[in-house]
Amino acid sequence: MCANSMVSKIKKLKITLDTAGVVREVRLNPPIQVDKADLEGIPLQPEPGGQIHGKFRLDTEGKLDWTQLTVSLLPVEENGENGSEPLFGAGGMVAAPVFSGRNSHSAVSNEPSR
Amino acid sequence: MKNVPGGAYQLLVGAQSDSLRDYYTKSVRTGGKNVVDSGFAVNGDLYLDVVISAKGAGIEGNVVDSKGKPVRYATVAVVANSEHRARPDSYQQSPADERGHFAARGLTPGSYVVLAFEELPEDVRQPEFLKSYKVKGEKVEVEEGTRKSVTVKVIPAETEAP
Repeated sequence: MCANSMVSKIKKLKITLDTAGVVREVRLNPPIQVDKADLEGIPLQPEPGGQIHGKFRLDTEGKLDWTQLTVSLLPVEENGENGSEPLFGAGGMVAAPVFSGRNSHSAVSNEPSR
Repeated sequence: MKNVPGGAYQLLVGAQSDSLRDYYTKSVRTGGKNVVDSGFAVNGDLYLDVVISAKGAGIEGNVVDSKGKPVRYATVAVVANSEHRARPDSYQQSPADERGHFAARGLTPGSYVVLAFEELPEDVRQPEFLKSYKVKGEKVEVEEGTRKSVTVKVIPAETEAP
């Protein structure tokens, strides 16, 4: 990686993993400060990922077509704010927007989970 | 969700049906802890227990000008005031109709500030936003399953944050 002339902090990078050709966005902690000199040979070690599963339920008795729901994962910045575009809607559970980068998006099934 | 990159996340539950407009995400629990506001770390396999409620709160009302006359088509932003501020679903924006009426539904119970703009500033979700515009909004406290009505004065397009 090379950079020149500007002093700036890099907090996020999009990298392509050579092995799978997968583009990933990684957060840098601490951020890399870029000054006048080129930066080269910085080792990046992505945090281990994982798998999320779970169960939805209503707080009261009743039925819901769970396939009407979608779930999205929004990355949380270090300051506690989420790092995505503004989310606005006319209701509490509006159609989830499609996200890019590290956001994940999934449908909900009616199948029972453990 | 498979192959989720490591890091901290919040869960946003969306709906594909307008019939779920009053629903909200009540809790997201993992490891015995409610992480709906704080988010959670992904660094391995994770199990989430998500509770949905049909009893989201609502705030409705009218947008008026400085003389109390209805303002049509203003943009109304309903912004969580404090404890739920980090939640991605604690911001709602909707246009007032031709009579200046607006409605926000499916809100997480708590404290909100309702603001009406002739022209919505781009920085509406920035941390400094509420500090700048708080005095121009209406504070509303809503409980689960309740609806409150407010009258909001429009913030003219040329007005700058105090």
